[in-house]
Amino acid sequence: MIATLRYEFGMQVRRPILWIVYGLASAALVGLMWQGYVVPTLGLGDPDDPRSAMIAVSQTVMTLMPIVYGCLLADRLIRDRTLGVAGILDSTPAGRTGRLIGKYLGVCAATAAPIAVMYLGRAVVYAVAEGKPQALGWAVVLFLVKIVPALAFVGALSLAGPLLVPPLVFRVLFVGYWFWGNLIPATMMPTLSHTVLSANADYVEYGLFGDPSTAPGADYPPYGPWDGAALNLLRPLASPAVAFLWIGLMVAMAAVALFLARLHAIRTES
Amino acid sequence: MKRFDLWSHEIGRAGPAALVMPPALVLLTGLLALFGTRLGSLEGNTAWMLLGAVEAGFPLMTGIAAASLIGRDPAVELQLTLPSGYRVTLLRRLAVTSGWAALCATAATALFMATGWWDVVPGTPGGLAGQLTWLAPTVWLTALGLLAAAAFRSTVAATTTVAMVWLLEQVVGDVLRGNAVTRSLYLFATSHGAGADDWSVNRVTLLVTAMALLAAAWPLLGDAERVLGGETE
Repeated sequence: MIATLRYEFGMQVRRPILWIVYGLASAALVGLMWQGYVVPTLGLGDPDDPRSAMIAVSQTVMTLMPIVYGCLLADRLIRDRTLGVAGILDSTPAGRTGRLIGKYLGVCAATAAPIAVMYLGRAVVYAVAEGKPQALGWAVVLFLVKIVPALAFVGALSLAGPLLVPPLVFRVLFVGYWFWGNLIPATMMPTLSHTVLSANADYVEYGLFGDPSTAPGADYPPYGPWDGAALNLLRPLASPAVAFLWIGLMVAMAAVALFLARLHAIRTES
Repeated sequence: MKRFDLWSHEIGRAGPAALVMPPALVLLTGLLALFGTRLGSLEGNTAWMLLGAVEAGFPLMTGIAAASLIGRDPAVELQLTLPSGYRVTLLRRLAVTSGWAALCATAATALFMATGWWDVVPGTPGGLAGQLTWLAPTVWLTALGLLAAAAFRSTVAATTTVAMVWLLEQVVGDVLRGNAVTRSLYLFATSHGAGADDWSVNRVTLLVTAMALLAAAWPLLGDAERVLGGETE
């Protein structure tokens, strides 16, 4: 598993195309999401407060980057079969489960590396420019508890998805899913957006890092059920427990996706 | 006969996925039009979603399909030696997938116009011009997909580019509509209420710039070494 992890990480992180596409994405991020990335506020928090600034940057980064991350991962698991090396790899002493987990961790870490650079890089710039080094601490914690669980799930979905449906269909569905299930307002149509099952939900910020609606002078509703939205059952009021529930659900859904990929391998084996 | 063989080969080669998706979208939107009200969706909301599905759904499909066209040939070296040029083969392939999606989109638009859904969203152009709702963004994203595939020589990078542009146009639509240049290139102007003048300018600009994207892709696709040297992983 460790050998697969190291090899897959190295192979993915050295792909020039990975950095070129992320370069385009970060140019778009800086150019079009100026408010949020360069000016670190989305209207809710104070950009001078390192905690709310880092929250705003994390939310901005996680609006666009998971689609790049997911699409770049979509060919990794089916690659062994398209190249015809799956059979050779099967004949090695490395077990299939170990190889799957190694590949998952390796390619996900490599594909998430540019996101880490983009997010933590912004934190460094903020810390230096504003003279507030605590921003770095907030950024690292937010990266670990908000960005990593979301990417863990999206990564597993993108690896397993093209095994279960044709890659072309998966790519179209994945873009549709990210927009419908994570970005649209919950009242637009029945959606998973802003539920505990959404990779882009804000439960961690509101549950663990202080609810801006409780700040003095704020007139924002608390994060949770939306008035008149369907599936509000899946939108409990934000609290530390719900934030941990969200993290647990992301990891569990990643495990389910990988389990399905493993089952698929067993089915094609026989 | 040879010509017919080539076309039938490309239709078979396009695969069920590319051929099933457009009619599936027509079916889904048709079901929404039929049962949306019964499911509790307001009439205005349903009409806007139908318009949005036609304007954004078909371009996404054809864009991703165009981005996946190159690099799927097991023996491209052989293809490059044939009298029928590789570029022509690619165009034929593109015509099969995009043409089929275009047929489905025309049918869906005509259906929603005939059943009155099109008129529910104020300011939506009807008649033949109404078909530009899907045509302009579809041609533009398809051209972008082809150019990205030719430039990056990698399916995964090209499809990611199309996906990213599509998503950005949805997410930061306000920013893009706020500037005169990006407004004229905004893909989803119909469902986001562009005025009649703005809309015509936008559609024509999209079609013209799509031709520029295709023109940029053309020499890249003709470069045999480039086609051969693509990313194989």
